[in-house]
Amino acid sequence: MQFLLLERITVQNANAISGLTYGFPGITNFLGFAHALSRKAPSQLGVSFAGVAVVCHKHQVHAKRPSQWADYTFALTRNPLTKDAKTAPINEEGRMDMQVSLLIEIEGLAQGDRDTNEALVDWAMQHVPFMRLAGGQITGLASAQVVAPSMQKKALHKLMPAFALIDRSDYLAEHFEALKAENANTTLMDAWLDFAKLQYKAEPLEEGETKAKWLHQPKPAPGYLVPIVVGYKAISPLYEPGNVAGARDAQTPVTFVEAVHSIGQWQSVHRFNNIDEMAWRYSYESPWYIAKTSQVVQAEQAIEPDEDEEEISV
Amino acid sequence: MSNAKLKTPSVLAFEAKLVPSDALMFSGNWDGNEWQPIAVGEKAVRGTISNRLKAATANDPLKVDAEVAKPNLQTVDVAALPHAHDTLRLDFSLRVLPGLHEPSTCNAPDYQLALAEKVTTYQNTHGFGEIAKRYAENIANGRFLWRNRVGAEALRIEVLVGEDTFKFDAYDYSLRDFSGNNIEQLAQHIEQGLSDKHVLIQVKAFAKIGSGQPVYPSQELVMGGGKGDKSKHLYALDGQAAMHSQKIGNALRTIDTWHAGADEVGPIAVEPYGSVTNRGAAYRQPKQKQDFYNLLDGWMIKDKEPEAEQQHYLMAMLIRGGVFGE
Amino acid sequence: MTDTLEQAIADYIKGRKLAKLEPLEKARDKALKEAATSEQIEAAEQAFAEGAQALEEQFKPESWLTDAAKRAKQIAMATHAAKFAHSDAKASSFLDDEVDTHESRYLTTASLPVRKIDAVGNAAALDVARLLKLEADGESLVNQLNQGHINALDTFTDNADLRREWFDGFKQAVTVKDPTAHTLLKQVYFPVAEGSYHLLCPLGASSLMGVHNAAIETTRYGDSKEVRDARRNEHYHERTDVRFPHVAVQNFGGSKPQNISQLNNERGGKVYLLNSQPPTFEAVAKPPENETQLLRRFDQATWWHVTEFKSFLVNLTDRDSNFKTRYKRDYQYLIPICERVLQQAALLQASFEPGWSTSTSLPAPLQAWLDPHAHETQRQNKDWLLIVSQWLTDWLVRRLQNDKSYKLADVEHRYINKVIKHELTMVELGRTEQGGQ
Repeated sequence: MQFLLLERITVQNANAISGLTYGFPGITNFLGFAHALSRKAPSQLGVSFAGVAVVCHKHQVHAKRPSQWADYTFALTRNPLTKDAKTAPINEEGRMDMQVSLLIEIEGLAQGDRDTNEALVDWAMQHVPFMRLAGGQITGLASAQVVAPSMQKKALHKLMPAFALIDRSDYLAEHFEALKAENANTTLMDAWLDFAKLQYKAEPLEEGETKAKWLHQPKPAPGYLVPIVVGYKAISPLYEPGNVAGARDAQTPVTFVEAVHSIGQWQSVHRFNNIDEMAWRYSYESPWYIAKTSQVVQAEQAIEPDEDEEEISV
Repeated sequence: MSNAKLKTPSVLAFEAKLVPSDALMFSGNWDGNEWQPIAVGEKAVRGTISNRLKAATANDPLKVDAEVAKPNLQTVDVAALPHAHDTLRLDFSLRVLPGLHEPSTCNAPDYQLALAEKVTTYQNTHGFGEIAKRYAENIANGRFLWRNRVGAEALRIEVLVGEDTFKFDAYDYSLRDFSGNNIEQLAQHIEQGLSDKHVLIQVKAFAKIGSGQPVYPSQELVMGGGKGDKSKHLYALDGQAAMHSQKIGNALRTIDTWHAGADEVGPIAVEPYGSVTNRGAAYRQPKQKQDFYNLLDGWMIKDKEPEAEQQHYLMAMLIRGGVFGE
Repeated sequence: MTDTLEQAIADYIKGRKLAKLEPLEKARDKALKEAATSEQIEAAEQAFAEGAQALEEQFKPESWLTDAAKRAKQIAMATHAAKFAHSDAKASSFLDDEVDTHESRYLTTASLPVRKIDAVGNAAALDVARLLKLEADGESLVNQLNQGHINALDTFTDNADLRREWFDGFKQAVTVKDPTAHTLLKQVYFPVAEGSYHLLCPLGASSLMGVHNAAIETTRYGDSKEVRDARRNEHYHERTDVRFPHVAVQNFGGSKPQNISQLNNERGGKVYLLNSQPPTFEAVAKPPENETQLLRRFDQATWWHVTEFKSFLVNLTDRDSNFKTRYKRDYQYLIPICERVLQQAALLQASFEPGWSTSTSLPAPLQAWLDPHAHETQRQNKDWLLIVSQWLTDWLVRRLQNDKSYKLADVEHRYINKVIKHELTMVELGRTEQGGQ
């Protein structure tokens, strides 16, 4: 599998809010970008794009808090006035700047086809800077290149320091099942929130003492885990084309949806052996319209202690 | 197909065709080559009492003294040139995109077709030359510097497009009208960007404002602050003072001199109702039928061709972009 | 306490009548107090009696319900409301009554066994929304309408036609007859098969927002303050202190949250958002001059993960503390720490001109590690990597030490060293990979 590496894309004013989360655009934004790239690519190149690995180098959310104890609020932009020269209602949109690299799976490019390879890279360098990504303007692109299968590890190393976002819905499922085993009334919301909480428990210094030491409680699973939105779920019937007034077109079936929340992990790029395990892809199975990583994340195999250790230990 | 049947589509939106980046602030010396980012800092200030006092207080000198002596400590963001530097440099890039014929979304194919026709006719009759020239002049005159332009001893704008470079003395250009010289070449690049193939323009503006002088990045509205919280937030990227892209865009599209109040207020930013936020006024109100929606519907649906000047305005509105469906 | 839905409905209607009656009573009492003549007294009594009589008529359950059923189409009962997308988005809102407590990977409205239903539309008809939402014994008119009946209203009339009329009227508040999207609604194409798409219109999940907000607020208000204070004073408390760090607030509807929806108004237009930002690293302004400065960077970058690991180790039970059964979990805690250290190293490698390290007092193997281009010869054998691994291991073991609660033994030292060595090697593989066609 070959990947198109769009290295260090600088984006301004991208969407920073996704469902009940903020701080990074929803993952389907990046799939949408690859899809738009696919549709724009000149047909003579004969390539299309599928999975996308998302790597973040730097970011800045345009949110501030009035004091250290307050919640963050989004910087508001003043909208143009209404026709009566009144202040227009504010529709709050969270925005962020970010520098990301995308590794986009290429379909239809023969390995070693240097001409197409070169044409593709040229075309990407020309066009990507004029596209939008996650609703933001692209203001820079360091390079574009095709990554051959044998060069994946090297390409990832070049992106250091950076973190890739991967699917950890399995952690959520595990944690939810564990909580349910203890208390049948636990909801998935409880389990999801546990990943975002900091928890401290008191331990008396001595029996009967009021003085206590407050200890931080570990999270449901280790790693840099964050709540994320992975796509949408239909909450209405699927309407035939043309049956929904005000739809963008009358040729496509329409459905109303809500955001789908799960858990993701930011993992350092050096830890991946190939790009495929980081790549998100569209997955549709009614009523779910979501993005998934290709190899449904299996908990990573721990490095084992050396043989002789096992005997010494206990 | 008769145009009489056309209806404004319920979904109609245009993507902006003039896309500025945020602008970053640097400091240095007018003739120098060394530039460093201007950092946004924080400082505690003792506010002075300048708000209108209640009558009972104002009439009692003792009370006024007491009121004035009250510590009114606030934290604010500040940004200024260091004392060793006399010049602000402001950098941004501007992307100019073609494709005015095609809305980004439109759910009425016949309308879309008719609109494309109108745009093509405009392009053949007038071309994008007039509006491109105005955008170019708004680069050359440094309007996008906003308050940083005020009182500058000297103003220089350097522009890079592809292989071409341009240098302007911003004081050669007026903010009131569009009659400046030597901007044709830059205007041609913009025209080409709008009509043919996208163009990237890099702008560096230099304002000699004097050593240690304050600079004015965009200010940010932060809601929910209480007493004693920071009262002024400045926009910064990675700690570097910056201006919002919207602010730059607003200055660049301040080309509308075709509205009713033009003699009085000069050019205003291209907006659907000709609104000017800081004046709290709208110069294209629907009752005069010179607002964007009336003009567009007249042209598209009622076959009322607007005057050439209002056609410029309409095109500039499509370049501005927005959601226009009803 | 009401025990049946019928009773709750009757009480609700009565309550509304009493609320309307109250101002009349007040007006009468005021007039009586000021009255000087018997005519005035009589006039006050009569004004009240007339007003009260009109209210009696209006709030006779049968007539009130008939009127309410007529007004029901002005509102929509919803779990998903359009105006969260934009305050001017005139699109359909939907009522989703699916409950799926088995789904374990993806959180949606269906994951909520209990949810508050929202109402959107004409504010003057919100009393109808409240009627439909009344709950007793797990029943509500919304539920009944979804099941195709309104049995709870049977006692209020014997007239079958009227019942039919009520049903048809109220039904309009819970169903979407003419689905409508809007130009201000985000509408996204989602590929469902080669070359074929569905157009998705995302709506704000108001009921989910409500449960989410409530969960965050319980950690801030009420008894939680007591727990927080106990922790601040280092006093014992049996409950866990819970905090959501870096929460942001999104506001819907500005100064008029009621324009968005009824529940949005109850929430003051606020929705809490949880942080999903990637880790950040601070840019390095200048290179570290010695080991101490370098270690300080590593300390800062890893303190959180080290804290997590330590609290895991402190909480180990005797059974768990057997390293043999534990190493897999140790590994999961070691990894993020290694990641942060290696990211810092990469940052240093990328931030300065090759050769930067030679003017520092960093030991040679550290120079080879962090300033690779200037040390290609020294890097040819892997001695430097072994030394750096050991050096990092010693540092980390020092950080993890907690003499009171646990001791890290040689076996753990060796294991940590092995993991660090492995991670460093992985990075080096990326650096030196030669790969060809």
